[in-house]
Amino acid sequence: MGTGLLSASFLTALFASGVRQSIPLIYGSLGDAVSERAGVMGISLEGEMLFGAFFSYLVALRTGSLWLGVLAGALAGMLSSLIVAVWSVLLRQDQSIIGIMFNILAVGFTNFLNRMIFGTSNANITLEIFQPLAIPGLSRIPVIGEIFFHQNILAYLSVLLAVAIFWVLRRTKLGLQLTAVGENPKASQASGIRVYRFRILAYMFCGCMAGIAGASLTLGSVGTFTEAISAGRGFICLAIVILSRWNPLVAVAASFGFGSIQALQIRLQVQGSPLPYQVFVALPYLVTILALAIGGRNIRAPRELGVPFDKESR
Amino acid sequence: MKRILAFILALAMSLSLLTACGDNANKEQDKTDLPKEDTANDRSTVSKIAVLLPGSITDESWNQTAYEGLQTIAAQGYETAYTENVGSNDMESVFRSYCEEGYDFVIGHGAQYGDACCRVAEDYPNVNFFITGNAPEDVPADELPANIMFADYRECEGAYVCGVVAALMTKSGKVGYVGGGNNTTQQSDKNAFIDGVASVSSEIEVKTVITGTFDDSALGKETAIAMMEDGVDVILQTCDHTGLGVLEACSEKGVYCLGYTSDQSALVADGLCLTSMLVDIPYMISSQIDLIKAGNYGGQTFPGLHDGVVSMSAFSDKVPADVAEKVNAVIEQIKCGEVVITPNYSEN
Repeated sequence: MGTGLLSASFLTALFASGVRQSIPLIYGSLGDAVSERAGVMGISLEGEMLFGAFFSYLVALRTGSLWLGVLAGALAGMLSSLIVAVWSVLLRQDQSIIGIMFNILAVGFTNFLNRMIFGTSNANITLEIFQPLAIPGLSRIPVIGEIFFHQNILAYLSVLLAVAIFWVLRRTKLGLQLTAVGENPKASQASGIRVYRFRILAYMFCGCMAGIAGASLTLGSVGTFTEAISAGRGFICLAIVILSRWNPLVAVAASFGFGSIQALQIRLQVQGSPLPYQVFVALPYLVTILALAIGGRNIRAPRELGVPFDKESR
Repeated sequence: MKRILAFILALAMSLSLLTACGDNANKEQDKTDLPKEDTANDRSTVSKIAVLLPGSITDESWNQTAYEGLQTIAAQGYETAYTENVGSNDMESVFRSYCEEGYDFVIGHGAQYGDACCRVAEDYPNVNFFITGNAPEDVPADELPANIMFADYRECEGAYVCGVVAALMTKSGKVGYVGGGNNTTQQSDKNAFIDGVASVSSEIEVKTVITGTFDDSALGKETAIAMMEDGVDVILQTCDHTGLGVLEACSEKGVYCLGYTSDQSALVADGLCLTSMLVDIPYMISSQIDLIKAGNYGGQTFPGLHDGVVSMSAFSDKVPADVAEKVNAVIEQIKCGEVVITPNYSEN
């Protein structure tokens, strides 16, 4: 083949695609990292992403503003996550079950809304999506500039958010309280931290992030809403959060890794191979499992992750 | 209060499960009582029709066209129903529940429903079945249940013609195919596309990517972008929602593309969608009613370009007249049998 797999142009294009594909994963895993630190699992990420994707598309279409769409997506994710938050935290039900049922509800409900509002044919109403924004100066660095500094604004925002969240978690009282709530809610409650409130707010933040992740799919990638557009990305975020040990900055790197492998498997298929296509489709997921198996040795989850907290218990 | 509510919900769930158990008891009876020979007459009346769909009805192609066919039938006064997203573990149970509810014409929209349908058809000799796809290959033709009609429609003829169009329109010498994978119709499309390209020139490279999903439009878009980076300048997609992402990428980057199952030229800017391979699924489905009424419904048919079930949509203005002429000549050759496209189901 002409240019070869290790040529600068091939790798640049590959990693640039990797960044594009990592955007929804970054937002999702940032939200999930915060929520899991507080002790609530983000199983319903997938559903919140779908709500975010649908409502961001609807609002952007009707108002003509992409940013209003993003806002709507964030709000939709946040409000829909309230359902899960109330059931998981206040009513102390099993978080996995609530999460899975919410995901099923989300697929059905967004499909229903999609058909009710747009009929069975909306594919020809494509929006003008967020365009790549070149960062002056940095985007001119060879290779690195092309890959990282020529992306759309949602990509840059996601990294800024990751830094902000990292700083809040490590360096502020709020972050410390959040971590305490996930590690030892009983002691936290005793020392005056309102555990329920923290958990619900953390979970709504997760929903908000998932909503923006969904918006990044419709407004940053495809330009329209297709049914089940999230295609399992919410679940990948869960793995990414564990792999990154609940560290927002590592989560960005892990998301980029997953996105890049997805970009790689496509390009490997394009190059042509006698291997059955299923090998390539499975590749990103195989690597994730391998990474968890190898790097997952000393992973210590927040102690009370997934455990409903009863304020009245002794 | 919570306990009473929980108890009522649990009771409701168990009762709904019990209906499935009830079916098994009746099935045993059916097998022994009804002789198979006498059913030809019983099967020629149709009143309730159901369709099992592998995806959702908003995909602008495969599933939506079946839904439209069903609407045509419903407009003629028949009672209709459909179920979407019927995956492999649900196929048999969905077939059976429609049969139990008295539907006398049940359609499995896709070759993948063939095996499940064969198992169910033997238990319901009074019900007519239709599969939009080829019969299971490991079953000899005379052992297939008599009440199933397999429409081994030659979609691959359309894919072959798309290959010819792509080969004639490419300037870079590289064309691409994006598929969803997983069933024989898709595999035959991919192989026919490659053959169509080869019939024009053996120098042209065909890049194929199977995305493994029919629902991920963002992945479809990235796949098309990856192909374009490799120099591909014409892409055929046969993957429903994922394909919509491919068309979107082509629209954005100004690359030629080819549509699938319905005329998708409206979805792409500037006439970039050169043509679409059409399968008149609405007609294929609605035309079965007359065949059922004629009696003795079943067997295998091979609709294709020759009877209009498969056709090509009008060329866009980007296709020059001489290319259009050559492609039309190929279509005529296939129609009259001069060029025979046999479906090739091999995965590589």
